[in-house]
Amino acid sequence: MFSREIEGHSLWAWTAAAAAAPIAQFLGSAPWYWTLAVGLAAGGVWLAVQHVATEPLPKALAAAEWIFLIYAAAVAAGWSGACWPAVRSGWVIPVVLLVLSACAAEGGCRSGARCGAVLFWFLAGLFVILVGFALPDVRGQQLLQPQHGHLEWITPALLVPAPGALLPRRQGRSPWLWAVGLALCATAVSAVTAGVLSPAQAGQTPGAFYEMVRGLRILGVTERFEAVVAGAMTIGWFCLMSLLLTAAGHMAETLHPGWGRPAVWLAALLAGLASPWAGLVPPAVFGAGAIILWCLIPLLVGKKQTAAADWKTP
Amino acid sequence: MPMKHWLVYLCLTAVVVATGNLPFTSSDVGQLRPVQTIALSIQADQVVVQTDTGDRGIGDSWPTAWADLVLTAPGTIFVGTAGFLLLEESATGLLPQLLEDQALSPNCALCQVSEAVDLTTAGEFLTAHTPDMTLRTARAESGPLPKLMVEDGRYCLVQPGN
Amino acid sequence: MYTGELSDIRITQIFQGAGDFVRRVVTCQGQTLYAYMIDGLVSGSDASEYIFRPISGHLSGQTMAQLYQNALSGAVYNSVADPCADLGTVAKKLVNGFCVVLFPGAGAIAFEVKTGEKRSLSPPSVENTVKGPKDAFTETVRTNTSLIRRHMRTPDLRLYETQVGRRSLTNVTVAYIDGITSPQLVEKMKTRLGEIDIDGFLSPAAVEEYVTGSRPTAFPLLQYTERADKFCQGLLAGRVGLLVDGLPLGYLAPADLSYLMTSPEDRGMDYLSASAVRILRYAALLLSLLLPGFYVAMASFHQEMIPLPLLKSMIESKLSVPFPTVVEILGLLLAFELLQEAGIHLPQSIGQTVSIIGGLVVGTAAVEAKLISPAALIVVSVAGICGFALPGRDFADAVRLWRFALAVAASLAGLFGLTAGLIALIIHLSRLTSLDVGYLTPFTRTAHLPILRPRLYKDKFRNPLLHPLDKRNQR
Repeated sequence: MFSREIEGHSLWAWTAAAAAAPIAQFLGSAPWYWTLAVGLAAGGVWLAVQHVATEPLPKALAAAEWIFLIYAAAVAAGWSGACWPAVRSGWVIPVVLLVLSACAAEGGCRSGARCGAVLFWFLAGLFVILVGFALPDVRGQQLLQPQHGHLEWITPALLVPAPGALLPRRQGRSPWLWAVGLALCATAVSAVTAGVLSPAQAGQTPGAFYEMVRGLRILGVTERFEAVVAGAMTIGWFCLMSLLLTAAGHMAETLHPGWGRPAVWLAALLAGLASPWAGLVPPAVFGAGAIILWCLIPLLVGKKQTAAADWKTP
Repeated sequence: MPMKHWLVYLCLTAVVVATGNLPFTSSDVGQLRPVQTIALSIQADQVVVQTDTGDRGIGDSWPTAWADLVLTAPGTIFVGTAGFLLLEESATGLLPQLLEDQALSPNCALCQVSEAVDLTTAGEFLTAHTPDMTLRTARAESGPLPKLMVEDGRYCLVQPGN
Repeated sequence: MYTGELSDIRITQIFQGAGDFVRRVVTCQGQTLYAYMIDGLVSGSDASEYIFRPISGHLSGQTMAQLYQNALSGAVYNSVADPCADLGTVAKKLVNGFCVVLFPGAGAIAFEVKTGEKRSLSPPSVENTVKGPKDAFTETVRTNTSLIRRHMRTPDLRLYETQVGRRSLTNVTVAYIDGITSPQLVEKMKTRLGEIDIDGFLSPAAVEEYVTGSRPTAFPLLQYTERADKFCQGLLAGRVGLLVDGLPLGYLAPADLSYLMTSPEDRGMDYLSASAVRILRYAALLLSLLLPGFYVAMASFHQEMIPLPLLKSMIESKLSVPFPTVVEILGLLLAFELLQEAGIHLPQSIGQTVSIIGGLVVGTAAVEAKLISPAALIVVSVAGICGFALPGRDFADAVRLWRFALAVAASLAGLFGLTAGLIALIIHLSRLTSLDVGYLTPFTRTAHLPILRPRLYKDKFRNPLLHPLDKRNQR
């Protein structure tokens, strides 16, 4: 029951919602042309992995995935409080979001996907409004200037939703539209931030997208609604953590039927304990792990199983 | 058997509340003294901050003067709504400190004044004639500040380049 | 249910002490027959005309067995003549308005002579519509099935009848369309009904909780309707219907969130207007749920979001109010609930007056006495009015409950608390299923969001979530 199939389109919506928070957190500081290039590459990788990856993974690999997913959830938990700068107690927001994510994930793949797919609409609506109202403030000539931003988080931020490929799913219609759309949305975030703030300021400011939103006016009335944006990013971090914990539960279910639900809570607990230190690991390590464990391994295992099946079929 | 979620939420809330770790401090809107216009000057080597709510703070720097104002104000000073920063000529050197302050809105407009002005009427004037320079634009590129002049009891805003 | 042989003594023992139990001894061709009926459930004139007159005038036979056989074959020319095999069947027939004639040693026959005394058809009391039909269900299940047949004259309409409740013996009908409704859905409904083992199946809550599995949720998992046309639309869409004797309602399952947000009025106007109204309805849902919590969060934690002129006005209006914002909002929400509850229980003639007094006078007086601020009153009133815009009362009640919870969450942690509460709500809804169809599943289908009403001629396919046998509803 834990690992019932998710329909393809709701998995993509969940993935998009999960990508929203890292994109908003990190890619505002990144040069938009790098974001576009890496985004399209990441989209291609997601499509390939989703197309080729089969189930289930061998047990040793499933165990390794489970451990890396906990680490990823710990990193996400560590960053989840960053969008609330005035927070008093640093541990409350990550713990609350981990508990909520575990509650969503313990219901299994389908119920987690329903959550993420519905919250996608909240996020999509809000980000469209934000980018739309930021457009008049964008100075086009700034986009042509070189930008020296934080590049180390581009790849991890765009690969972090890749665990969706580990979940049981039915192929949806036109997944390439989602992949391209996500890459373009990420590029829009980078471009709008640089266009409003300036490439130099965007490159130097951590959380530049959030900084850009701080001065936005909507319909000339509300000026400082960064709390609403922080709320949206909280939803995004929740979607990401629920995706990671659901994937962890599914990996545990692969190891032994019935382990899914307790493994979700164990993963949440371990991620919570590790979150103060998970951010100390360089993003390049995270990026390398994501490429190997979430892209290469599912691709190689999937291709090997497909080749073996083709060889057996006369 | 799935855990009863409401029990989990209740326990978590109880733990957070009981340990005094609620993430944010609340202040009821009725207790606020919202500031619209802030004036800075340097008098006797001290930074003097005044607001249109009639409050005043003194300190060695912008942060200490502001902290003094917050402590001595008869209510909860609220700077989130501050729209205008008026710097007297003596205080233009404080601009780098102001640019670093994250509590001020990035759309807070900056201008220079040559003398002390009535902050309430100045705020009304500047609401209608908003200076081009804001904290955000000042962070992006340096440049001369707009000047708020008083002539025969009337305000006049001179934007840079005019 | 009842054991023992089919005899006059046993039948009389079963209904001993029932003052409305009638026993009549009838002689026919020298044989003694016994007739039983429940006064009030049967029509005496029909019994006389269509049972006793033919027995005394037309029924013939030399043995009891011949009398029994002739009576069953048409000599007693009542329109319905059901043989009763045991005491249990006799008891059930008697309490359902049948007259049972015992042929000692041969058997018993139940003749339907139900009284015509029942509530006549009337317009719906809640689900009013301007253009649609005005016939609503009544408490009599047979009247309701006839209403359905009049709206939908297909011979493929199936009505599976059973009884639920050990003591209430409530007649329950499962309605579906053969060739459209998924057999699995029908089987699930029948299985659920078969698993119910309670004394009485009388209240709507009993129906809703037992049929859906008594989930710990305030959200309805069955759609109910007073209207026969909406019931038939549900059957045509591939849903399973349930009619319960004694309740003037028809139930439809499965019910997901998008279905609960539809109204019969949507099909009474053009698709553009209907779509605009639906968007408004969803906006009303969000406002009703989130506005009080959002106001508490803004007023207590995130005042920078409020434009300065409005903020100054709010500060001024709250100058002498002794209570913090969250107490104002929760108190007003509670007062709103009390007003609504009082309005339900009061007679109609004074209910409206009390509502006006409560709403206007008390609210205005409370503001002037500086007990609450005008902004808080407006927020709660808007949220309440938005709640009334939701088509389902049960759904609106659930929203009202969660509104409280979200306001409390916002009072603890501002917009983060509100967001966490909203996430908790979405998690709760994502785990709800109605006959194995996810409550939120329609909103996960990004290609076909259910918010807008499609043009009828383009709406060629039935909802795939219901797995209908016939996927097309028009060519």
